[in-house]
Amino acid sequence: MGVELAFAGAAEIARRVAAGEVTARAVTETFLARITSLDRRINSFITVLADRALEDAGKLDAARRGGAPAGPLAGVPIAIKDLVDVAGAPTTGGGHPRFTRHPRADAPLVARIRAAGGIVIGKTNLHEFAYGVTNVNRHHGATHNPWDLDRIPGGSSGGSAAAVAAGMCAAAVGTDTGGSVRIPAALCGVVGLKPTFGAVPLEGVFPLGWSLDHAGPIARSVADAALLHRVMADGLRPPPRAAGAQPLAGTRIGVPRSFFWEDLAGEARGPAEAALEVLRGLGASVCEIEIPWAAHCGATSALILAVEAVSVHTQGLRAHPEAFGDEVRSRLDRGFFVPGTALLRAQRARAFLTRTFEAAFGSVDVLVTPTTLAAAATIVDAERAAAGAAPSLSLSLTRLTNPFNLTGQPALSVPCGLAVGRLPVGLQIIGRCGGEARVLEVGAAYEAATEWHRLHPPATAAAPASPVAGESARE
Amino acid sequence: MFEREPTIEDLVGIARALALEFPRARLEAALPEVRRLWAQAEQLRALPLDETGPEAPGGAVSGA
Repeated sequence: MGVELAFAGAAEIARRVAAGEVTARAVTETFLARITSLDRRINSFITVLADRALEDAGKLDAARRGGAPAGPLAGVPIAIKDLVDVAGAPTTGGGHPRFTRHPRADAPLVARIRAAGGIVIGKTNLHEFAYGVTNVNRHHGATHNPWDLDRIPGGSSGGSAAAVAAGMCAAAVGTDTGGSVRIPAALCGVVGLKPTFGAVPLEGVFPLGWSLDHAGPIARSVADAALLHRVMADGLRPPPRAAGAQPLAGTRIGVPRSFFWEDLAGEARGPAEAALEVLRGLGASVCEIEIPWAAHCGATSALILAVEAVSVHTQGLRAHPEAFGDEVRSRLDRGFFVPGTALLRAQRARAFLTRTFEAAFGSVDVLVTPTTLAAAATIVDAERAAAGAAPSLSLSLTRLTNPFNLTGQPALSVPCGLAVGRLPVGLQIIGRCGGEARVLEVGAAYEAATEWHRLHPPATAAAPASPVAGESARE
Repeated sequence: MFEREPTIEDLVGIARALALEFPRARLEAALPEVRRLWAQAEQLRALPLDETGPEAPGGAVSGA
């Protein structure tokens, strides 16, 4: 049962639990056993909440036996990025233990997951305070990409994406300030959604940049991402309608060739171009579109984020600078040196760029771009970049994703191929603010026509039979 | 906005003015990132921002 269940997906697990085909406890034990077996090499979890997860699963099973209705996430093991408060568990933020918080209450988005029957199985590794995209973390160790353990999973929600990809949870929660849900989803071969700004409450989520932060799901399929998003966002509405034979007939898809399709590594271009053909085959009208000034999004985002992030960490930087990793401390420190005039220009640029992107949707329903310029870099290269010995990976990895943190528009990454035959890359689908349903529909139609989301990292396919570990933390 | 890229002495002076007691080594470590940010701020001068339009100060700056 182990491997099949591990990759069955959240909606299917909830269906089986609701139907009495499997207990929530058995599901939880299966995933905990996989964590025990696999995570020594991947390092996707900072804290595994085994005891609490088994207790919650047992309570859910008892309630089911008593006739209680099953929620849409009944018995589904969910991992939570360790930037988000879970009652009774430490929130490290991926930082030094000095900065660890001990929340007594769940973040509202976590409370919604529990209310829907989800089982919080653990808290996942991330780039230090989410301020980076490699998940090479001085305090908690690097997370390894399940597809190639020598490579990064992307970040900053790299632990969440790696855990989903390796079948150590059925779905996960990430946060996204410049691409931190979509980038690791793409590089780990899973689905990630950055919803519309404000769609998911951020209370109880440690901030990186207040005006750019989003929380979103990482899952094995678009349907699972839609399911988890709806639970996190506003309750228990059903997922989007199923795709038909010509599911995208009448859908206008814009391809912004300038900027978003330039400078791609060959390994990323081929799968993305092939994805456009799939979308055409599904009946969509695919046309090229110009979004002027898009190349200025990176500068705008960097300036705003620099000031917001240093504002969050001012006290820590003054009192305990040694408790930050060198890379993140320097990245934070730069925010002290942004003049007010530069920040104001960036804010004005943001308003200008947001209107420019909104105007693009006058002629199309969604935009489509690659999620990243290239597949996952090696951990060695990421460490060299962090030390200043190589170009920053943040600039290249966030280039295609950070514009939509500025505009607040929803953006979905779906797997669209394997670069060099073994490293996942993603396709990004962007919609109007509030247009998650359309984005998810296009993603679901693409997914139904392809097999990329069904692939598993080869090294994680073996079924573990090891006993369930107790609650643990790696510090 | 900036007439040249910042030097370490610029950062030392700014830090002193802001009462930031940073050791020089820390400022040297941050200097490449500060240079990049200042260069990015300069790039934004290319945008056709309307000095009296809705993105002007006091206008409808998006919170998205």
